[in-house]
Amino acid sequence: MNASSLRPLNVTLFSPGMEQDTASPLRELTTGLAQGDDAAWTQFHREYGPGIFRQLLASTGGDHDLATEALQQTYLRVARHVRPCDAAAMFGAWLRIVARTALHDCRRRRVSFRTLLQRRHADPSDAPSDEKEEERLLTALDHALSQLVPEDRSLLEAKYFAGTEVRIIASQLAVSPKAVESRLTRARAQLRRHLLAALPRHD
Amino acid sequence: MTEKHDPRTKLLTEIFHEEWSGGAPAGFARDAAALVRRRRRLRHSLVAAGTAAAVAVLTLVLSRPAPEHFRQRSLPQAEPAYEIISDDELLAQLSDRPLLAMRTESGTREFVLLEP
Repeated sequence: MNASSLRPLNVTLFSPGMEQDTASPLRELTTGLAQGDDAAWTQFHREYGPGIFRQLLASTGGDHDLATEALQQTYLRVARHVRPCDAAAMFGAWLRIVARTALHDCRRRRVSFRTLLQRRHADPSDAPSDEKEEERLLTALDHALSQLVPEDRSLLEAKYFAGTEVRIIASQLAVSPKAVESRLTRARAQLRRHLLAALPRHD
Repeated sequence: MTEKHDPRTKLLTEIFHEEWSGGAPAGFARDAAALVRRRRRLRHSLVAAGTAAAVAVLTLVLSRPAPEHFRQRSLPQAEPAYEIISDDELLAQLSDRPLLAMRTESGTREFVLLEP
């Protein structure tokens, strides 16, 4: 399997029992993952990695180091256990569980289990769902974006929300693409500071 | 879970990982792919080794000679040590040849045919 043979995964959900004449893109991807195919793993990283990282980042309250460590562990667990799969919803749910347990184990390595138990015992309500945590993260991101200077916010919105290419932004601003990249780097660094300040750490 | 669901996901990843497609996180994906390949190679090696061992054991068992008591033996027909013949046959075989009768130490007698 090579990179060109992998189709994008924008068609996914199949109802159970639905007959498929050809292998679904998700089945192709998961088969490639199970075979250790580099192109499949690159596609997986591009299409699923950001979502996994977002979940982990939300669960760690913005602890980027822990989220990155858990991301690596998640990939290794996916490598050990992935099987060919047709159902996008099932695959997505499985990935969430794998990421959650990988993060749990990373935390356990960092914090003694006893401490974790004591904290859970002291405050059993301190176990928000993934969805709530992600909602909190995205709200914090929106808040951080609103704190940027308008030029930086517009730049980030153009690139990430409108999907405008850097060279087009550069021509609109009458600057070089390299200058736009530099401004984007600074804007992201500023956004990261605002975001981390807005997120309560709860690891 | 793909980043297509919310454009903010890509922004979030690039806030923390400028080089999402080529940096450390991409290395995690390469490591994972390499892990799968190593595990598959190991699994195939184990299966091959197991199959070879099973074939070797089977060959050994089949080629081993059967135990002695299981083997069917054809016993040679034993020649009788003596033959009982009639008086007439005896006389015919002697055909007037001299016969020497000797007393042995144990007191029995032994007959020796004297060849002419």
